[in-house]
Amino acid sequence: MKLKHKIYKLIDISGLQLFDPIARLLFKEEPKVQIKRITQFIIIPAVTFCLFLLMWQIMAPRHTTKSGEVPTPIRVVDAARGIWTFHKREKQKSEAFITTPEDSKKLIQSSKERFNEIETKLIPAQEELINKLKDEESIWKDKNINPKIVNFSKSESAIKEKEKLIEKELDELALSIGINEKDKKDLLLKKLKEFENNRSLWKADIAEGKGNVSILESKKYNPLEKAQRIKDRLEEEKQYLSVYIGILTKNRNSKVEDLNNKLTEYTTGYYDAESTKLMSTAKRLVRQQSRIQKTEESEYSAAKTLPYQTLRSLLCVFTGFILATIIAVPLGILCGLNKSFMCAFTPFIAIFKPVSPIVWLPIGLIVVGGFIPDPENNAFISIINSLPIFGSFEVNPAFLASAITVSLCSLWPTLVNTALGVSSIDSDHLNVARVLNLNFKERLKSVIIPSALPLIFAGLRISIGVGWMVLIAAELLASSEGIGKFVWDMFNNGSSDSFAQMFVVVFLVGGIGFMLDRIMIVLQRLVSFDESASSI
Amino acid sequence: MSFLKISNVDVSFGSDDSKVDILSNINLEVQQNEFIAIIGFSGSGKSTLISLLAGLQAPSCGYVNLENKQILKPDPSLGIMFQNYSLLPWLTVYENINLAVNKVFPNMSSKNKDSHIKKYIEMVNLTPASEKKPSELSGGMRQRASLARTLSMEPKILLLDEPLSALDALTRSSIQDEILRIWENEKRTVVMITNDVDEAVLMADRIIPLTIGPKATLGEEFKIPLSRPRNRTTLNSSNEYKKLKRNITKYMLRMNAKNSKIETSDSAIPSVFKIDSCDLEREPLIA
Amino acid sequence: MKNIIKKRVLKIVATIVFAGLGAQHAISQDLDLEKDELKFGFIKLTDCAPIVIAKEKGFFEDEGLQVEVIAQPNWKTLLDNVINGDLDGAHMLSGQPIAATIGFGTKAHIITAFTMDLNGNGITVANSIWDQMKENDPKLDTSKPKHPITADSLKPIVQEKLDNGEKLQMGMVFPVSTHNYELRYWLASAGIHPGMYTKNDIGGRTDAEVELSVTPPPMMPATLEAGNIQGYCVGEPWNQQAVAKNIGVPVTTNYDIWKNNPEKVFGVTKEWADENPNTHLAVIKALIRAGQWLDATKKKGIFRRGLDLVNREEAARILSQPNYVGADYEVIKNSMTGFFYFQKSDKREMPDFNVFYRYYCTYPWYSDGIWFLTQMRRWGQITEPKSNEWYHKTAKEVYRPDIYLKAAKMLLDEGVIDKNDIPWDTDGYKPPTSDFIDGIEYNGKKPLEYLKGHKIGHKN
Repeated sequence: MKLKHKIYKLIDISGLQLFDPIARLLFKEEPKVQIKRITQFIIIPAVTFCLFLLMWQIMAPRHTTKSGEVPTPIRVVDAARGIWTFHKREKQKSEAFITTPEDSKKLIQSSKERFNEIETKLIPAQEELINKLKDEESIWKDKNINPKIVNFSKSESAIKEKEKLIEKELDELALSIGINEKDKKDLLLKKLKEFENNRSLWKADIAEGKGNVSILESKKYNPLEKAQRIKDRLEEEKQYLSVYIGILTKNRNSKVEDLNNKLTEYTTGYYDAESTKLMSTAKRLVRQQSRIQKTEESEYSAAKTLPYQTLRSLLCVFTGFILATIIAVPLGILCGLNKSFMCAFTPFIAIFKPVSPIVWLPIGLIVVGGFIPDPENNAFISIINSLPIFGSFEVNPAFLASAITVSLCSLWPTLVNTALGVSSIDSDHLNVARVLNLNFKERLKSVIIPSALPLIFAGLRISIGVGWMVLIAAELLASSEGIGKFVWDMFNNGSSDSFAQMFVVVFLVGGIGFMLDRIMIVLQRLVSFDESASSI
Repeated sequence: MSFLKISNVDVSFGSDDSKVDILSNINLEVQQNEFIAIIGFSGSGKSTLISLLAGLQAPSCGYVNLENKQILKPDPSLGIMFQNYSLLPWLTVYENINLAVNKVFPNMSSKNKDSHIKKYIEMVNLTPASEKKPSELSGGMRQRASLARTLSMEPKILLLDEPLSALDALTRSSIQDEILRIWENEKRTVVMITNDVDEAVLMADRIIPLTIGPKATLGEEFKIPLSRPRNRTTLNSSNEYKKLKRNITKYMLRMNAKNSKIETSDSAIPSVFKIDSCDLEREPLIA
Repeated sequence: MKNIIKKRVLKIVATIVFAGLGAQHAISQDLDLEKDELKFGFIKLTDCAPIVIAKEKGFFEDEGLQVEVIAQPNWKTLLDNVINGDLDGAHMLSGQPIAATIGFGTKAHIITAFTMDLNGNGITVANSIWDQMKENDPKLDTSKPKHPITADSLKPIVQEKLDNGEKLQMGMVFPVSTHNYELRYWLASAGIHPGMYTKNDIGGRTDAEVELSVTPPPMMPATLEAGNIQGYCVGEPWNQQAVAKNIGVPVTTNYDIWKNNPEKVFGVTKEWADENPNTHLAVIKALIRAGQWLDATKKKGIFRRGLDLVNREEAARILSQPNYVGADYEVIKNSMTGFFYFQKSDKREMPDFNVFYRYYCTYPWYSDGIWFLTQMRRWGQITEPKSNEWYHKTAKEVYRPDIYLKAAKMLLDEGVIDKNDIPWDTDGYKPPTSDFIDGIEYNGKKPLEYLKGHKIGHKN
């Protein structure tokens, strides 16, 4: 096959339709048509997305709540950068812990320089800027915000005055009425009722006004806020640098060195000791040696950052997904082949399919907790953690419970689709099996499963989509280290970054979900033998 | 001794009131290496007849014998070729044939198997396409592949169920020639169902019409004494060929007219049953 | 001559510097650690500071420990993780070790050898409630009302709600949290009944005039804003968040309810402590050093104002990291550096808002445990009356000053702490005190008498 056709086929299989017109254009095939297709497939979506970003950038600041403004795309990018910086710093701390003495010296030198730069130059400069902006802020407030607040206070006191006046009037009226003046008494009642009604209306107005005032008061002067954020970042960097320098100074190598020095001291002490002190000095010596060994292997316990959490989430979703596939595919085949089985299983499918992950998770936690009461010493967990990939992610009961929840929620599409695929095999194919006199096993392997594969993979594709959605919720509730936990932790921080960080997670989760879907599409296309197009 | 014998066979469905007789009193004897064509209108029960011969269906009464042994279940020695090719779409041509060969000749060495398969692919002129999947082939090529698969099983009898009716006329002609050519080289007993008189006269030794159902039965048989190997171009100008065609066609049309007269009198219009293959099954899917 | 002097001076300076470095980074040699990689849990409140500081300032490392400090989503999960061993120890509410040991909630024998801090909580009410309180008590209607504010001005609001067939809703963080007991104490001292726990009512709403419900701390400002609760009692930064976001007004802190009350403790299972005695000692040593660092003042021993606490700003900066408390630095800074905003216009000095070391804070006092036990009995979480001896015995099962003193002694020998910082000779009971908002005296040695002294709640 010519190279051209090979490339076209590759693009088709991989499902990356949007590269097709580009490739064809490169091979000079019908340029006008290709340009039109490029416009359709690439330019229009890109432009739409950019318009979306633009609209978002403009509309967001107009929506202010007490919890803060809706973050703009720029703010979201900033938050993402913050997350990445934090990750890098933790990584650097871990590396600093194990650097060699020569490297340590160099790094300490450069860090100290940067530290001094921040402390002596950058922060004071920023503080000057902030002071200037604070003045600007008060001008801005005086122009835009304070008049409204003052207006409100004025109207509030005016209303209060009016209330007092009317009350006084009514009191005077009441005092002036004689015992038998029924009409006047009725009038008083009427006026009092009217007054009460008005009072509650005014109260509502004042409450609304107060609400508006508090929103106005919480409005921030953006340049000032930005400058303060920059200063905050500098302070954070300063703090980080001091910790970093501390780790470099006192890292594993220096600790081992110190311990070794002590070891020589103990060794001489041992060999100089007399019989009565021999045992104690010997013990001391041996203990020191084991301490040195432990220290040589020790690592810095850095905090878990989003990249690590993302990988762990992926591992969890794959575990759950594979578990679901192992259960759903054989069961589906069974149901598809035998109508009685299908009838037997239908009520279970009908009842358990709509159950939300949030209900399965506590059940999962209890069951896992029941089987694994002591995770530290449990054989099952140790076995899993000794496997190559799982081991580096520290599987624990919360992980298992999340994975089980993912399986329980995502096995239904695969199950139903497999059953459908197996039960609706083309009679032509079955005829082949009959004519060739294939026994059950041969029939299953050669005809039934290959024929049902496209539907099975369609089910798998839906399953992984469902599983990915379920996972985040499950992790959040089980507090299993992953994207779910990240979301909950950042939300609980209540910091001014939290809102923007949530948007970062939206795009991250969406992006990964998109990737997973794509992978499944490719797999689905590989096993499809008919010309029907799978969706975009 | 006849090679294939159908004796007093009835095929009916249902019981009592809802009993439907599809075939009734079928008697047929076929000698070895004879080429038989059975002509019938659509819905007359042609496919049922072939299913009977392939062992896919049991007669309600009577028996079908091949070499004096009753046909009870499907077997690779009953080489049936379906109207719808029935090639597995996820396997290439080679692999489709391989599947059949593996089943029929399990002890053949892989080298022999390979040459065996290649021989039959060559026989149907499909060698350049042997690594292609059915979706990449034209209708004619698919039918040829199906033929190759059936032949590769070296069946005792070849049962062709309207093999060419799904093809356009030009392809039909070329595959008819191909089948004839193969049959000349490797003689086998063939029973072919068709609705095309021209095709039947061109290819068969005997033509037996199937009357219109229900209760279809085999009508008067026509012997085709035309000499072999048959050549389409020369036959087209042969008087005997034209006479046979005329006679058989007249016979078929008369049968149809008679039937419609009977129809307009009292009996109901024969309905065409969609025979669910599940109902025809001898064995359940799960053993 | 000059060169020699220069050299000598340099040598002396170098010695001082290195000695200083050496003293700062003294590696403790004497403990044979059973486990040196540990995981501690915490909840995002500023009083997790001792654990965080011990990690960030290298105190854990000095003891040879590598510690991962992991945020927990809520108090229940935190406790479960400690019990099942996922965590080695955690930042716990004072009531949690006690409740777990006596079997209220999940049962497990939890001990504590370190009190993490005193004070640090506030009671915040919604803006609308504050307005009504001001109406009920015009004395509150100034920019700087007199403190402490009792629940007296809340009483009419409670009554009004009851008349409408509703109940005032308030939030606290956990059934056995100090916040629960402090909120109840505050309400009860003004004669408002906060509800009893009974065998059938684990929610504690029996006979309640005000309903208390559990809300996770970070959700409290949101729930307050939504109107689901009208007030809450929680630690920082959630009271200052309410002020910063104009959602509510803190009316009092637990400093006013009970001066210098114990707040959080560092809890481990007894099993873990028995299996890892040396590691436990190393941990306590690091925590004591962290407490000392947090309460370090400019001039030793002289403490007048919040600004004298020199390390608190750095502590706030560390706590504002997203993997620790995560709230904005500006919000955490206030209470940490000894200032508290009761309203945007009402900023007061509260140097003792968080106490991490002074006033013998870190010692695990039996009398603290007994106070919590009395409150558990008072509100019915302990369903049967118990004898005096039971209180003392239970407190001794949970609080372990023996371990604490051992660790402190090691620090004393290493020259890190001062002799006067630790109450070496105490019997574990603080002297009787009436520093409560209602003035009732508490004597840790006489729990039953104390119970009798209250108006609302079980008296035996």
